[in-house]
Amino acid sequence: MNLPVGALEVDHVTKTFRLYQEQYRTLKERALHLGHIPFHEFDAVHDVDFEVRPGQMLGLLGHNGSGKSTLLKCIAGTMQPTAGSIRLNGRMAALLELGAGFHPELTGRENVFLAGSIMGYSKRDIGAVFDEIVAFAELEQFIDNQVKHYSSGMFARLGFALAVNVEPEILLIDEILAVGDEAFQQKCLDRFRTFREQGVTMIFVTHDTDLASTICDELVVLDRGRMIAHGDPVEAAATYRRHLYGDSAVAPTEVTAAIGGITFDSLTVRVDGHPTTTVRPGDIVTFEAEVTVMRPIDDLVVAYAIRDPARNLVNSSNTSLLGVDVSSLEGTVKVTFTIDGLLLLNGAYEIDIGAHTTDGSAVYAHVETAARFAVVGPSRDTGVAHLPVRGEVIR
Amino acid sequence: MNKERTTNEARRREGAFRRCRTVFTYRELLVNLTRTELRIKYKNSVLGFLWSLLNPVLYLVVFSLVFQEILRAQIPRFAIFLLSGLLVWNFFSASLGGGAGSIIGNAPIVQKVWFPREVLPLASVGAAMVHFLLQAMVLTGALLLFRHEPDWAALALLPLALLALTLLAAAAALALSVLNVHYRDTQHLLELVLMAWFWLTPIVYNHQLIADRLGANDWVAMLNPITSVVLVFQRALHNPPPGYIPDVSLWLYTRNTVLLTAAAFLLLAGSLRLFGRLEGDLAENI
Repeated sequence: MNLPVGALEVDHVTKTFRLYQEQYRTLKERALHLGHIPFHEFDAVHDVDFEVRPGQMLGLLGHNGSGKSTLLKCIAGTMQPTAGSIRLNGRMAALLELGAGFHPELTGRENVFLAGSIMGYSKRDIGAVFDEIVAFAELEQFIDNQVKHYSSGMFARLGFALAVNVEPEILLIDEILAVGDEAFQQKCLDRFRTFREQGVTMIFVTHDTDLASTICDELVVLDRGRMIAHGDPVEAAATYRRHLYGDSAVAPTEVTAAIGGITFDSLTVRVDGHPTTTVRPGDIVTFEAEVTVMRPIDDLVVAYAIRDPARNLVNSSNTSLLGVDVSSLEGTVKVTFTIDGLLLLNGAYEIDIGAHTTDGSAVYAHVETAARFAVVGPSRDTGVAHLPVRGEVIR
Repeated sequence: MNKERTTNEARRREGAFRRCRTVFTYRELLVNLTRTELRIKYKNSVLGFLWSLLNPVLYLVVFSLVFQEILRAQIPRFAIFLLSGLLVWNFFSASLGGGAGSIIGNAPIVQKVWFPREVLPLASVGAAMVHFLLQAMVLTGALLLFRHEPDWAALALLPLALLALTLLAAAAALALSVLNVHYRDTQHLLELVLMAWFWLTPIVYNHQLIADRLGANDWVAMLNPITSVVLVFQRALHNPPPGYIPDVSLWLYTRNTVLLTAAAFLLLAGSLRLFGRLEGDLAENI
């Protein structure tokens, strides 16, 4: 049975690791502990089964330790599955670690040919695309320098340029977009787009739900080695978020911080009065902070800030701006902020909460990431703002 | 092209022949890794490749002094006798020493990229081969310097002896490279074994000294496969007068070398099998 070029089949793959309480690596230790080395087994990947069609871009989504990197190593062939098999047809390039196989003592030029031959390409293959590789990496001036003198960015750029310029038919990509500056990252994304148009099969491993659901045709979601979702990226991403943050009420994050007579006891996210961690775009969302004030403070302001996972500010307001007087409060009270229609796009968000004077000169209490919530919606736009957008052609 | 690897199955086993074929398709990588190993070794050194010539020259001076002048060894043209055997030994021991550490030393690549792992220890053998050729130049120089004539007929046997030696070195390097991943003290053990092995091989003394002691049991000495190779080299290059190495016909030397080559092929096949059994979980154990 032959697979079409560019196709890949993961057939009930399980990868079991043995965790030894002690690693006995030397002959002496092995001899001393012959036959009774304590260990327990665990499945890093458990019975994962899916197919990738030629030209498809498949996202492999999962948090740290979900088994996605292990699975990728099995696909790349550096690890052998304990059960099941992986079949593929086509030239494969793996962006598992950029510049793997580069030798620090060799020059950039020598390394391109060496790493190329490790990937299975002949000198002629690499020679034909050498200038493109160097141009893509923007390393024309440094290509004859030893790579030990390269910056980590230059190193990664050269590795990336090599992998994407050898015309792979199947490309494995493992969270490498974090390398290089923004311009280079853009270039990488553009390159993936070109590959897609050319019908290159791509497997993209990430824990960035937004990126995965935007650029992939299909997602496979892994959790503790098991496949918990497979298919439409938006639905799979939603499953992933629900799995990550839990579906029902989550115990509010215990919040304690007191600089001057005020403590935040809890912060709860509510939709329709029910505590939740997942929100649909347009929901009426209430942030409910339980505050204990020791004695009334004249000039008090309670504020919140919504931030994205990179801690960029999405929205912030406070009681003073909203015309709510909290100066006379004493004892334990609840301060709520209600958003009539939370128009944010899919993603994870976190809320900071604080209490300070109107001019901000004194901070009584401040809690970073007092609560988290995830937005799960049908929109496939990118960014943070959920805007009602239409497209049309005018002739 | 890595089209070769189209499946990755649990408990995949490939025969020795298939493995050889895969390695052959990656021959360019073998050459590149060999070149890299040599290049790194002499990078930033002023003398570069001259160092690998200096090693045998130094051995020559020291051992000649000690054995010829102090211990009064009776072998004529001791320098050439010594170099003939040393040439063989250096190739063998460098292959094993380099091969044993080859997979662990390249852990970053092994964990990230698929390619036939056999290439790594074989590249160590390749690098040792280059040194062998350089040191052979020193020996040729010594032959010219001393105006010493080799045994021209026996010289024809050298390529076959070298083939047997290379196969033996490759078999040992392959096995040691995977064993060293699973048993980390293989490398240290190897140093001791190589030391003993060196003195069990007739390099600084002549074979006949041992054979005379063993008497009728002199075949025991021939169990050391390196001895057979060393004797061929000594016969061809040193061409000693009767009484130092076995005075048997060239035909017997040829027969022994052919048998050794056949045995080396079998060892290599076995070694490839062992490699296949142990390579599956290399990336995890490294």
